[in-house]
Order: sequence, then C-alpha cells, then structure tokens
Amino acid sequence: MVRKREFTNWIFGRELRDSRILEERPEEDRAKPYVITPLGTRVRRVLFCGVVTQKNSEENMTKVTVSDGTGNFYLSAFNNDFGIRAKEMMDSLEINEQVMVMGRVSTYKNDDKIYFTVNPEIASRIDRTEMEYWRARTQHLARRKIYAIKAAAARQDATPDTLISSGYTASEAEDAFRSLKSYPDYDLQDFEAAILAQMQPAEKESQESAKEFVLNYIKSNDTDGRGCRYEDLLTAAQNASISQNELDVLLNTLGSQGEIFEVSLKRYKVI
Amino acid sequence: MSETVQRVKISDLHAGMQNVDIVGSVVSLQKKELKNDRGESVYYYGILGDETGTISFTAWMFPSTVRSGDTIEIKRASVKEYKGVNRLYVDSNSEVIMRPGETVQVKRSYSQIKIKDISMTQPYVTLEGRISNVKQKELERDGKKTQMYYADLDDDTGRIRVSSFDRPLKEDGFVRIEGAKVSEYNGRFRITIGSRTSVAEIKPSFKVGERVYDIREISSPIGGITVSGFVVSMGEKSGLVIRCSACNQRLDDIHCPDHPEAPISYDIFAYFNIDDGTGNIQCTGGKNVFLKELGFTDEQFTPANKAITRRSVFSGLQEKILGKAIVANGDVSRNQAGLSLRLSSFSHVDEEFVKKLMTHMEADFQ
Repeated sequence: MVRKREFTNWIFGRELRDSRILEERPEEDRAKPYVITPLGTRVRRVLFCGVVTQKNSEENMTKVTVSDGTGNFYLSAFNNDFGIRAKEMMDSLEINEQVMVMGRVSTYKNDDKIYFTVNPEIASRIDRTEMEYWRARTQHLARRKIYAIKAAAARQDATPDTLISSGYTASEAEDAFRSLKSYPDYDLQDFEAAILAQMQPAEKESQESAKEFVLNYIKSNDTDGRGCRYEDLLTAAQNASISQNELDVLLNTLGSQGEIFEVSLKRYKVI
Repeated sequence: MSETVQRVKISDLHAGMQNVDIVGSVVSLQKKELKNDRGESVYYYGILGDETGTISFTAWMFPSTVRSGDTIEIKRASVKEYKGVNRLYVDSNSEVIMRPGETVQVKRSYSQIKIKDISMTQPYVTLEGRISNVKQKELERDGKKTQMYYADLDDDTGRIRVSSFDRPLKEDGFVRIEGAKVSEYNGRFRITIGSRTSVAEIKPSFKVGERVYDIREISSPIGGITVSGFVVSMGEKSGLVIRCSACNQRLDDIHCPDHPEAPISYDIFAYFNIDDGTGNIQCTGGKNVFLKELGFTDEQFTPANKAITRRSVFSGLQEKILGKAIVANGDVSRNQAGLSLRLSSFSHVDEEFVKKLMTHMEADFQ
C-alpha cells in the first residue's frame, strides 16, 4: 500500500505562536496531535525559513531558535536513534545563518498555555533568494487563507462549496470554516499586516540602522541602572517605525552577538 | 422474484439505474492492480460507446479476451454518479457477453478542452496547440506501408504527445485538432489523429510559454510544466548508475552478464521530493539534468575518472539539491505510487524567478 506523505505546512512563526488549540483525538491515538492555527490550518509538519538567533548545543540535545521576522520557532534535536542526524544538522548551524527547516511540531501544555517546539527532520543553509522565495510563497498561501476566512465570514449562507466556487481550494475552504469556529475573534488584519511588513532585501540597510537605534536607545535609557525597560524601548521603536516583531528579532540577534544582555526580565543593558 | 431488465442506449442512462442491459463497442480498456490492507485485487475501467454517445465504466470482473474495438453486451449493470459524471458499474452480479461479428457505430461527442484537462473520461477531444519535434516513421499496417508522424502539441497549459497516421504534421504550426482519440501509455496521456479526426491550421488565441504550476494543481499526467519548491527528501538509491555500453542495461556489478567484455559507462539517477507549500511531488532526473550541477562534463564523467565513486556522486547530489529551492521543468506521469515529475531540466530559484512568481501570485488579489 502506498503511504501518503504527511502534508507539510509552510507557515510563519506568528501563526504558530498565536495558536491555542490542539485537535481532539481518540486516546488510543499516540501520534502527535494536530495544532489548529488561527488561520484554521491543521499543522503537524511545518516548513519555514529564517535566521538562527540562538543556539545551545549540548551532548544530548541541541536547541536552536529561528526567527522568520514574524515570530520564533524553537527547535530541539536529541542525540538518540531518531534524532542524531537532525542534531548533527543543527550543530552545524551558526548564529545569523539563514536556514530552511522542515520538522514536526511537538506541543506541551503548562498552565493552560500551549508551547511549541519543532523537531527538525531536515535543516539546510539557504541564501537570501531562497529566503525571499519561501517568504513570498508563504505570504501568498496565508493571504489566500485570510481572504477565504473573510469571504466565509461575510455571508451567513456561506458554505465550503460557495468558497470553492469562488476559486478557493477545498482545503482552504475547510480551513476557513475551522478558523471561524476555533478563533472567531482573531485579528486577521493585524496578522496580515505583520506578514506583509516583513523586511525585503532592499531594506537590509534599514535593519542595520534599526540595530544602531536599539543599541543607542538601550545605552542612553538605562536611567535607574537596572537596565532599559522593554516597554520604553518598544514605544520608542514603534515611533521609529520598527515593529514589535522586528524589535524582538533585533533583541535576540543583539543578545546572540553579545552586544546586549537581559539583566532581569525585560530589562536590557549594553555590554 | 424476477427483476426487470432495462435494455437502454447510452444517452438514456442516468444515475441510480439498476439492472441495465446495454450493447456497445469498447472504445478503451485498462486494467489496474490495487494493493491495500485487504490484499491485492484487480479492476478494469474504460469507455463504452454506442450510436448515442459514450460512458466510462468500472468492472470488477471482465473477460480477458475483450479488446478495444470489440462489441459486447453487458447485462445487469448499474449506473452511479462519480465526480459529477455518470459511470457504468459492472459487478459480480453482472454478465459480459462478447458479440463477435456485430459492429456498433460509436457516436463521438467531444468538447474543446485545454491539455491540462485531458482525462480518460473523455475519449475524444478537440485541442488547439502548436506542433513541434515532428518525427516520421514508416510502419506496415495490414500489409500496407503507412507513414506515422509523432510530435508534441503545446498549448498554454501543457504538452501532450500526438501520433498521426498518414497525415503529416507541420513543425511549428498552430492547429486545431477535432476528434482526437485520447489514450494513456506508460502513465502518460497521448492523442491520436485518425481517419475521422480533422486537423486545421489556426491563428492562435493563446501563447505558448513557461507553464508554472502549484503542485496541488497537478492532478493528472501533463507534459512540459514547471514547478518550484524545496527539495525535502532524496532517495537513498540516488546517485551513480553503472551501465553496460553494449546493451545499456543497469548493472549492479561492473560486468554485464550478457556482455562481460564490453566496457561500462556512467550515468546518474536521482529521485527526490519537492514541496511548494501546496503539496509535494516525486521527481526523477538523469545525467542530462544533473551532470553540470555536479561540475562534470560528459568527457570527465567516465569510469577512467577515479575521483568518481558512488559515494561522491550521492554526496554531491545531496549537497547541491537537498534542502535547496529549485525550479523543475518536465513531464508528469502516473505510476503505482501516484504522480511523478520526470525532469528535463532544473535550476536553482533565482531573483528573476521570485519576481515572476510574485507577479503571478499577486494576480490572485487583484
């Protein structure tokens, strides 16, 4: 019998980060549960691209954080029979490298909050064009889903068939109704703005100046000696047209590069 | 209790009919082997025609002597709707009887479609496209010499192979082919221009260019398409292939059992999966596709070059394509595992392709 390969979802970190629901399944089913994302996507295997912002390599486990500009993916690979190749791939990655990762999403719950890690099956260094390619396709897939959700919400008599007849695929139609059921109040506009506001290659220079801005602000706003407050930094960054996601990525990057450190929760100092 | 048998013509068939008795000509016949949890089984499918039209059928048992063109009578068949189209079902309760000596004139009904929409549910079609790669061959048919012409037909959605008996095909000509017969061979569709097919030159209303598909759009064999995606897995048996230079057989050893004295030659075979976020498809490719990528010329890629080993070719392929975003051009065929893209060329995703893709995708939101 030919086994169908599990579908791979190309999604942004933000979509996974905002997910709050795991699909219910029979108790005897020992497979990892599907995550239901705010766009209604059923996710178990993901493919994403981003920049390595953190890495912690130990003998038994390697942890890597990859940021795609909208959110972070937390990867972990173990030194066991199933994970040794993945661990080797992760060990070979360096901070600030651009990577493509395909892997399975693991979930755990703590205080009713769901946390996600990705167990990589493949991780590969990529170049800027490949990153742009992934971003363009993933944006396109996400936007089609957003439009399908909006179309489903706009008409009371909308059904999956009416969406399909408007040009959406069967799975987009299914996802749209799943999204409306599972995340009726999700802010789609904010999500769309976040994925469209990502850095384009031509804007690389502005990233450098944003980095400078953040460093200077932290340096000159450590007013009480306990470190610059994240809230203050965020307000200033947003005034300088740096989004919260971009700021989070910059803070991660600067931390990994040893330029700043987090003195206490959400307080930063320049080294 | 005896059940009423309905002798009907194809044009009168409708979904839900039971105990149908029908006489028709077998327009096409295929056999499919199924393997699933419950074991192996075989079923037959094809097209039956009479003077009122054609209908697809599925049969769980069928006489092995029946061939395309034979006239048969099917008793106690049923009609159900499948994918929005009526289909005739022949089950263990049905009977198929050969009617040798009888002929049924099949009414051909065909609509104009694009190459991407070709399927075996429409046995005759009308297509418009550009003819290229014309080749000619002499055949003997019923003791008579016949000229056979083979070519590719391209439209804006794909490419298909065309065969024409005795009617020359003009290189680079745009044509309208009415009533071409569709068949499936080696997992690929092709059309045949027969005596009842008309071919006319036309001024095209479409452009033949690059045909970029999302993987989820590919649902049947189609030629001459482009897909892109990340290579997410590569088959472990990909790599160097050793062949006998006399018979071109693939060898496990370095000696051909049939031509032990013949020198060996080197070839490449790679199979891998690419994923574009809408789905994935298996791709295969050979030396013509990967040699340059591995940094060799034909002259260098020979057994005399000691730097070439199975391991070095496999690692080279892995390094160059696994985890990379590629643009793949080729023909899709159907095999036991599903659809597979045989590469004619590939390249790495570049800025120009990304720009083109973005323009193409942005059209969705206009």
